[in-house]
Amino acid sequence: MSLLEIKDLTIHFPTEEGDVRAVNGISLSVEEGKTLGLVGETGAGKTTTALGILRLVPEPGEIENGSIVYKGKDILSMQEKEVQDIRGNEISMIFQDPMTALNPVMTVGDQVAEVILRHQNCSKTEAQKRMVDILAKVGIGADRAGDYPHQFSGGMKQRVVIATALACNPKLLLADEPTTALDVTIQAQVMEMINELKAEFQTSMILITHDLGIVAESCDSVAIMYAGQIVEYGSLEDIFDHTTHPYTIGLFGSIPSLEKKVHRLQPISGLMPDPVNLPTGCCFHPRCPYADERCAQEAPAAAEVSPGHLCRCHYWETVRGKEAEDNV
Amino acid sequence: MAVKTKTKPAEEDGVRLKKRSNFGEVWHRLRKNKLSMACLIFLTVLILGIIFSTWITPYDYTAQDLMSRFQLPSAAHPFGTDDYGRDLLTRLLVGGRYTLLIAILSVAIGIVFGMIIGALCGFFGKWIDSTLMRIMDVIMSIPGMMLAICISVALGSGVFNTALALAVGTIPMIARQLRSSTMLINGQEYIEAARSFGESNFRIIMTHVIPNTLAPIIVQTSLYIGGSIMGIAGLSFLGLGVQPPTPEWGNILNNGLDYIYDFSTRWNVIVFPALVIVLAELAFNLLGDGLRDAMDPRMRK
Amino acid sequence: MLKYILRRLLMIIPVLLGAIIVVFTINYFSTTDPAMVKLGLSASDPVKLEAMRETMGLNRPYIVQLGEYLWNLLHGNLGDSYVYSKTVWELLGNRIPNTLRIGLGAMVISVCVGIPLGLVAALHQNSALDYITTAIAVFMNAMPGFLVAVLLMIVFGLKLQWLPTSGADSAKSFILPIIAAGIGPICQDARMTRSSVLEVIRQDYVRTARAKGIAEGKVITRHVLKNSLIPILTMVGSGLGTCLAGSILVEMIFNIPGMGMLINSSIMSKDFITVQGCVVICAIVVALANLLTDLAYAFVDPRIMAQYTGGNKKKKKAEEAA
Repeated sequence: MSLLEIKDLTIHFPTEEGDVRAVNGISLSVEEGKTLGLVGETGAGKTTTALGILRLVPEPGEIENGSIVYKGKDILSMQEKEVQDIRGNEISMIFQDPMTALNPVMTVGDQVAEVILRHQNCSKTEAQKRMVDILAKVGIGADRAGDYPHQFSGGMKQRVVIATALACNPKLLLADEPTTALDVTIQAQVMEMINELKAEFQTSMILITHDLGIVAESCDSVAIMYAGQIVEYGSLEDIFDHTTHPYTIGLFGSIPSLEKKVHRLQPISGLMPDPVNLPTGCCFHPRCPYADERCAQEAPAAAEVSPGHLCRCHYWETVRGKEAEDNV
Repeated sequence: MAVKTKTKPAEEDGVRLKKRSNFGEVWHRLRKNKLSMACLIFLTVLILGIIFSTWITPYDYTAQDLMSRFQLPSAAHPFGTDDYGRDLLTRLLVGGRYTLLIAILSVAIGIVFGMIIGALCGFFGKWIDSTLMRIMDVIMSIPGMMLAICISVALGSGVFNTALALAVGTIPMIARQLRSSTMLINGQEYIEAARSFGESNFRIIMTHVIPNTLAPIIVQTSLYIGGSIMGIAGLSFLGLGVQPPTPEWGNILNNGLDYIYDFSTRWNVIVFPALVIVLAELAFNLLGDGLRDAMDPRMRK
Repeated sequence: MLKYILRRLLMIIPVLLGAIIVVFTINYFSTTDPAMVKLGLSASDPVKLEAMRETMGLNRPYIVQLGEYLWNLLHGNLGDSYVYSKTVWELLGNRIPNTLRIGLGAMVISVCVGIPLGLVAALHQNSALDYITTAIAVFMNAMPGFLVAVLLMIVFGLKLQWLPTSGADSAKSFILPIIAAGIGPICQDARMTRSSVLEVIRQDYVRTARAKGIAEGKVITRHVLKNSLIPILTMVGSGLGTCLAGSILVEMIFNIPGMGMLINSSIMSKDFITVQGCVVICAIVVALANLLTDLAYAFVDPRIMAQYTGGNKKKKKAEEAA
């Protein structure tokens, strides 16, 4: 049985301008000790999905449909108190922007100790001790525990955020673009640290990113999100070596590669659709080079390309054939 | 929220901005705000009434009629009469001219000087900035009402003097705001570009800085006018400001307050002036809030 | 910390000095001749007028007069009244407590009522409670304080006869004035608190706190409140000025012998040096209040302290490195 199983999760934000359809019926699962990469452009609904898992979707967002089964229990039907016991303890989250994720008027030590005190049922001195330990693990000395966030650099703040997330030894880590806000030189360090700690604690992870390089390094399986839907889902090999969905192909086409010789990068034309007015049929059809009448009218179901490799495209077979030709 | 802020502006506002000018955009949003529109209509009616008061009421605002003192509202005198038997509605309409004139004048003075000082500080920085801003700090350290009292006492009564007394307190607020927005704009590339073409500082300030910082100030005008009306009433209450028999909302109310112990029989001389002052101020404040929200949709829920 | 307090204390001196100079200068260029006020009816005699100008020192240059005023002020002397044969301090001194009582009282109720109201409204955003609180706050905010005083007086003093309407004989006499002077600041504090809390509650670090599994009540008390206090503090600090000004207007309605009554009667008798003295006293009180606000800031927001103790920190780092 999987550690986490999401089925048909739908999250909408009713606003004055209309329903913002952020997440539209996604299903995925995370196995124990494995890492799932959630990949997509900004605004594809990745962060909302992660917040949905913790039931922290901000106002006025509503989880309209679906189930999130964690260890055999549906998080969506739990009491608020039960969810609170899970947050930060069993499932914890690393946020995208370390600059704003820490409370500016609380020492970093207190912020880390807070989560330990909340969940670990231990004395204050014990919590202090564990806090110092976990800070040491992320490379922050005990002498800095009494400092405030503004005295830290971005990379150091992200280390604090990671320490907070790992303080209670969670089963599942939701890492929301943990390196995007950092300098390139720091990015690799932080990613490496996350992977090491994850291995040490035997933690599963959902890694949200738009960086396919990071996915290739750290993930076991990958879900490609577009306009609130998972358009392609499979193992790392499925996605990287047997790319099937036109959007995923587009994503690979817009990053430079050392191995394949291409004359120039091919960006995906057009913009992400407005989540208030999603296109009819397949959401990707206005930007898709393979689209025809059918795509504009009929939403494609998830087709099983190979066992465990799903793709939402009417013409995945055609696309696949074409790609294979091109690569020869 | 994350989804909303990230995805929407790119598509929608891009399309909208092409269709409408910046002003049109604000107006479009403002029109959706019913409360603000109600205030706008109320103020329009009020101002029209004030301008065309001579056609609305048959009375002269100075005409005393000692036979009909302290009349309660009737068909002949909708708001009743005051202690000299003068028609209260007429006096309030004519008084509105002075009150609004002072309010608008004071805000205008505040904006002009605040803008000049703010733009100088933000644009030139260095010692000009630190000197002028220290002076602004000093003025701000004196409570606004006290400063107005002090200046009003020194200058004496009158429309312009009262306006000036109220304006001085607003100058630092506007200057500060303009200074920070000028600094923001000053760092932008188009200013660098203008400099590289050899445009003079004065020209850059006039053609780039002022127009780009003006919008938020204009929006606040409404709020400042509301505040001014309150200030005028306060000064009148202390016996400063425009002196009777020239009617002005504050001194009409102040005059009525002499009869507070006879409130049950002479309530109209207090209630109507008070109502006019509060409603006008409320309308300006709410319109200002609405405008601010329309300018900056992020402020809305 | 001590260093910070000392620095802030030193910083208010130039501002206060500036404020006093501004007030003095405004009065110096007054259109009214103090000698004429002092002489009263006999001012029509130009010889007497000139002699009086000479004895009052009005013919000396501006800078000398300013210097003298400041020098006297340093010794607690606010000058001599133009109208009465008393010093301004003699007129003013025993009236300050009444005004401070009302001003500080108004400030205290504005904090004790306004902040909780704003907090409740923010936590129940878009509920009926929120709308009602906001509507009342907006409406009352448009009411000049003295008008509120009139209303309170009519309702509680004249109609219901619950509370005294005039004089400063008992603690009871201060209830209505304090409420009247405090209504405006209550509304401002409530609105400010509401918007500040709503701003903070959206911040990422509040989401982080929730993601840690902290219960909502503790998220509010531990993370939201302290952060939203920062802008509220500024408001409260500058609110004392509003409260004092409010007190000055309200006193006249309730016939309380405070600075407001004195200002009013001094305006009537053109005893402007007394008005000047009142404004100077208010400026000093407000400057002290701002100082306290800034000190409170430092307790709430560690970033402010860091600005002042930054030098210290660097030294520490250097020591560590060595």
